Amino acid sequence: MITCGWKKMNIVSLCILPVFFLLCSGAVSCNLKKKEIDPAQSFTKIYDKSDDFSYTAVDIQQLPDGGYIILGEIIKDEPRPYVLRLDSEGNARWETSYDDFIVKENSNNGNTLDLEELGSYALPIADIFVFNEEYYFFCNKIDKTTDSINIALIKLSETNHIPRQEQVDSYFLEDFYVLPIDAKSTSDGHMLLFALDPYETQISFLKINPDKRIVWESEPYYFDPACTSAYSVLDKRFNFIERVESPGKSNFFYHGYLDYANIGIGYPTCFAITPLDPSTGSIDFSNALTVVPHGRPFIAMEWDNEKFYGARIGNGLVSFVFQPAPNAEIIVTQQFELNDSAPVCIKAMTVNDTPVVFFAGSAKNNRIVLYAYILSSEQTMTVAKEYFGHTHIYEAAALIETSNNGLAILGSTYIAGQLGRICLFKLSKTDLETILDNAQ
Amino acid sequence: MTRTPHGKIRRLKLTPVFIFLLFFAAALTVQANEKNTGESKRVQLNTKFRGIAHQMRELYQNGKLEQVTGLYETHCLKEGKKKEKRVFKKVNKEIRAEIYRLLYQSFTAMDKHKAADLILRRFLAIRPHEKVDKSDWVYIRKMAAEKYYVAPRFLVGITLGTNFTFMDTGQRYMVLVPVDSSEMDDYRKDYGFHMNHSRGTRLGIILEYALNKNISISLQPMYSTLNFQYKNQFKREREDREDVTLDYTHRHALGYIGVPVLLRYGWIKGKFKPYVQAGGYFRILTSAEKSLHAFSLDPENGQKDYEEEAIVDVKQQFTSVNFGFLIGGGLEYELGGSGIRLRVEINYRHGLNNISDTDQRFENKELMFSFYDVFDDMKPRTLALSVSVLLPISYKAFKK
Repeated sequence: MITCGWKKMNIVSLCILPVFFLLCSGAVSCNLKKKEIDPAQSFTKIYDKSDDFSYTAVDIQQLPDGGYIILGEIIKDEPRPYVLRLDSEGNARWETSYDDFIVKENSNNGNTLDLEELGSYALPIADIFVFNEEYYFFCNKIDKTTDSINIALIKLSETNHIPRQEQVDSYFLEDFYVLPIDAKSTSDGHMLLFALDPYETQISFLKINPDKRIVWESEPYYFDPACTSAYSVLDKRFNFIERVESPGKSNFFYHGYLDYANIGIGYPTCFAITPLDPSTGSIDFSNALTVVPHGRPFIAMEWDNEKFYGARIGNGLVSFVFQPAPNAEIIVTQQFELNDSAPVCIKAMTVNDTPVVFFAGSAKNNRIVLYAYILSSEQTMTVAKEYFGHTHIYEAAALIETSNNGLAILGSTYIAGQLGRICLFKLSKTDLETILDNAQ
Repeated sequence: MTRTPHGKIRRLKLTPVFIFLLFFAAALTVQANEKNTGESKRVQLNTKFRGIAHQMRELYQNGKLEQVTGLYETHCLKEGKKKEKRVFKKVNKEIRAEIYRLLYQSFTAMDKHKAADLILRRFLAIRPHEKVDKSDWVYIRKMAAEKYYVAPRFLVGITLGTNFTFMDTGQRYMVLVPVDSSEMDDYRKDYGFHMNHSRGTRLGIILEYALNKNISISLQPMYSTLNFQYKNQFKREREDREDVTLDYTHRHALGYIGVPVLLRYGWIKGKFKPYVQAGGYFRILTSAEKSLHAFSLDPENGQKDYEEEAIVDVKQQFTSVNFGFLIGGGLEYELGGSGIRLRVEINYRHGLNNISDTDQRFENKELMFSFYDVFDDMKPRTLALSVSVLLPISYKAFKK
């Protein structure tokens, strides 16, 4: 077939094909991945379920193994808690189910066949607490037998994913119709709970240790019932207690309902920022912060040493408030694109030794918007923005700094505009640097 | 960038085709202009060599064979060499054929068969379709047929065809992930073949150079579209009611300009000449568009309770370069002695590199957050059917 023709084949022709492929390889090598993306550094996930329930996000914490624990809500007949455990790459490990949060009792002693539903747990509140490999959160317990609502402390663990209510002895918590409003972890590894009785119009603070013992319980404070009319206790935007890391100072501030007019703070308002005594939980009215313009509530606050950052609402707008030093001039920036009916999250951190304050909110175009304010000095700032989401609603729920110098944004979205699902955007340090490079 | 579709998106991106045709027309115009100015020079040249041919004829008839060949060496060859002068190659073919005929007969008579062979091959190259008549050329043609196979040396042509694409997927990626890992397979994209949506088109030119009577090398710059589709579905189980599914259909049209390079082996016997070929291709992405259709049906009444359509530019999500190898074969038919070749062929193209740009995979926000889609790693596999028409530009008499 092919005989002596090869001998006389043009050398150039023989070289064409290998050279051609060498050129191809060289060109393609330029198209090969310039960097390998570590899936634990950067990922975007929307967690789907095959049921038609709606899932929304409440809080997230990172775990010592680099994974995450997410607290959310499943909404079917009522908004019950939902816990989702992820590994460091955002892959689901385990979860709780809607029926895990039914209050049950064995009606036939020892016989598990006859179970009677006594009620359910609903409306979980942030934060979710992590103590070793145990996870705790507060929620409402709806008791059908007594037609009451109480506070419940729920526990899960890595070895036992079935949620269980923990018994906490407290006269306040045993009262009917007491609602858990906010909870934060303390610097000494305890849980600080803000509870509210809407019928008695009083609030109280409790500090609980991981052994479920009450460390202290504050005296109850009355609040003006008009405040709960103006801003509902179920309003997910508000974070009523915030921790401040400042040596020698009261390390919690309360920002919420109080009868300020009667207590003599000087001006009638539903919202002021007042310190809490860390040993008793009592409110120090005499040291209310003046950073708050009278009457306008903050929906997010963060202290970074003595610097204050907040997001407040008023006149249908969200404004960011900065006080870069205790006596420095307060800077207020109005954010016209933000939806004031959605939560805002704040995280102050450093990126490449640069102090940055991140705000995550929900824009009017249905996207999550992440603002990065770079504080060059007490009076000068530059800002960068990044959007997450498109078309369907995306709302921010929580913002945490991760162990690999990144940022995780927890949010909720609606698949095809219909069913709520939890989403998580993990940004690496490189991603944050890229965002900051665009600051103006 | 999103547009609401009006009709199907499968169409050629004509801009590169128009640019190519424009270039071709410009080249032809330049050539025509050059032809006019050289017209008078050509007439002078032909007149001169017609005279030389006449001289050679007279010398041959007088038996002065050495002078016949001497005239050729003086006027037609480069000094001291065996290669012909470029100016001689511009002489009218009729005149050259007459000169070659006289030379061939002279060398044959002088028993210089090697030289005669060379002249004969040159003659055959310019007169491949010489009609047989009752001159003494009948004998020469018969002799030639036994020793040589006259075939086109250089061909140009156009090729038009269709292709069917299958995607070989590697690593899979998702934005919408099931919490229950046992459902992961249900969330994977289904790259099923669909006759209409996996079919693309191709249009190009062929530049072919014969190395010998069987083997040729071919460059085929062309524009082609590569179409493929995949689907995914998200099921929703409902208590006491029928399940609902959310269906997404993703259709893609990628436009490429590429240059396949092929080595072709053809059989020379028979009216329909089979051939096989192999080679490689290299192509550059010019456009990439995705058409999306999402809907869900209420099973109780069959009505759509959700529907969304969009066209999204996804060029950034694909690599700018794709290359691979190809093998194939076909049949060639020469149209009635005119020299024009018709070919029908089928080729398989095997892409060697991942066409998804891994750096840009998660950068299309609309795709990710509106349609929950990111591209998997993919290597294209294409089956192409083509019809080609080729015109010989020059011939060569190859030894059998």
